[in-house]
Amino acid sequence: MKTTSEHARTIGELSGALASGETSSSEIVERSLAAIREKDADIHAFLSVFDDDARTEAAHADTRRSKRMGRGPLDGIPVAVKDNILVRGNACTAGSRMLGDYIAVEDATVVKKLRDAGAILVGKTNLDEFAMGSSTESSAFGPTKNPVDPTRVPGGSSGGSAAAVASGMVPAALGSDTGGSIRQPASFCGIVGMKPTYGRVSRYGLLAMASSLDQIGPMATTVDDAELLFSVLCGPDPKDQTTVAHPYEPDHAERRLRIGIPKQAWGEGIDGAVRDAVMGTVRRLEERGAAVREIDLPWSDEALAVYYVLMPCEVSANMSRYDGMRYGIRVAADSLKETVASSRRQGLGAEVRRRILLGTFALSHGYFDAYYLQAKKVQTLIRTGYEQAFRDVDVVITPTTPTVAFTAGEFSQDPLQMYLQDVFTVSANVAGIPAISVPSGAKDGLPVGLQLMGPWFKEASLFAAARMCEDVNA
Amino acid sequence: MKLSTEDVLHLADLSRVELTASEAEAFRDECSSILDYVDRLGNVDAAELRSMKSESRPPHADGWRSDVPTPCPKDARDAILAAFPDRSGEYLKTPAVFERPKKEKRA
Repeated sequence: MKTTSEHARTIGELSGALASGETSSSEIVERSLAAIREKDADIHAFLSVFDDDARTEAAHADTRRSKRMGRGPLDGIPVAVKDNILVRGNACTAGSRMLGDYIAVEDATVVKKLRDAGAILVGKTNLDEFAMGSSTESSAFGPTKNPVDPTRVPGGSSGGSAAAVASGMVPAALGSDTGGSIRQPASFCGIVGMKPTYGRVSRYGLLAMASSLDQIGPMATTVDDAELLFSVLCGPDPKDQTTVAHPYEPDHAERRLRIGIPKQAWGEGIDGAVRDAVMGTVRRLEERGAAVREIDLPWSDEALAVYYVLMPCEVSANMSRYDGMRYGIRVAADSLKETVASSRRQGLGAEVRRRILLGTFALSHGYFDAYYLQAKKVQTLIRTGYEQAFRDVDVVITPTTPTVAFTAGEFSQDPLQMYLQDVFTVSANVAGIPAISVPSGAKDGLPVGLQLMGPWFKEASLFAAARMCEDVNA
Repeated sequence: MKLSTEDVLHLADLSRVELTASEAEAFRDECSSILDYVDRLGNVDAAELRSMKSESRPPHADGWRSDVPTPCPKDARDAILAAFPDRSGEYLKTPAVFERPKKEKRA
């Protein structure tokens, strides 16, 4: 589709307009900064904006292009980064008072990769404190609003990134996903969000939440844009020992898609309109020749419980570094122990402290076997279930979330209800498989997301299937 | 699994987070309801694990990085020092590890 640079929104359109000389990176970045100035007072997607650096970098990109030394399709394109990913010399708050004044010492590996590809970092986006939440309401710096309906949450924890992309402030952003934190906000805001296979993308420079589950991934308005960003982010990194060398090649081959619909995922608790919107897309895929079958994913009902044991255990360990000693806020008290406790009291919000307590409990003597060890065993069962399922199907489809975006404050008094938001997304983290959320219709004007999950390291076929969903709904 | 307020305060002490009295009560109820939910894992018969190949899938950590110090660039070093909440020259200042003996309580 040919669009003028004025209306270009996708990376594909923008880089086309750059290549034809119709626009410059400086113009694109000015438009992005203007959109942030105009809209962000209401939406609050950004915690910091790098006006000066972005302008300088855009001028460099334009110079490169004029010398025919452009770095490819991301060169000169503005991108936002979730504020739990380090950008050297800039604040990195993780949405927490604990790191309110913290300045990043170096770039995260993904930020280096973005820079090497020529992307322009325009700012850092809001999130639930330390990425713990599903609504971006637990940010110490105030909530982000959903651009589709400002009375509703944008989802979380990457709610700032989702809102920035959905409102057209930037064409793409990075999020992080430990239990659904990329896919659920993408679903609530009507964009594409993707969590790669565990081990695909380096987390060096990501403030760790639950290290065995965390992944960084792309958020964008189209599947192609998300795939482009993913292809830049992925790859081995000696600074993250979980990353593996699996070359990535996009897959544009025509083939018959085999879709699995897990019977466990379509039971109670799903909004009927959400179910219909997702099944509508599945039916259209079937009309275009996809093979759809119901599959059994034994133990997948247990994924949320596994997640809410393993995640807090790892949180309690990872958060112990925020002790007010080497960085972050320090609140002096009579003794070292009291100084640590009062610093954490001042610095960490209720949700973070709740998860630390739960993790401390589940790891404590006498409970370790019943909680942590049992959860690790059930995790292996869940992985095995997916392994078996992927012998017969290419992708598994579920709704991304059981409902559309909820209203601000709806679950603030009931953490368990908030946690149930993650019921469809956590499986992919627990199993370590890649998953993507794509828009699939709406309920009363509020976007519905469809989730596709694929086998380990088969992101290419996952993106290909996601493109088919996009096509049948175009 | 139900936690008592005392349990919650003990966990808070272990994990070095302070709670107000009302927070301790709220956390007691919230954590108890979360634990009630995750207790369903106890009903899963994990003995099935023995009959299947476990963990045939990637990824695993690709070996350990050798435990060798690498030089830190000067600007990064300066930024790390600048982030110290309290310092004395190039040293990080912390409260004393051992507490001063508290004054004896009178009987």
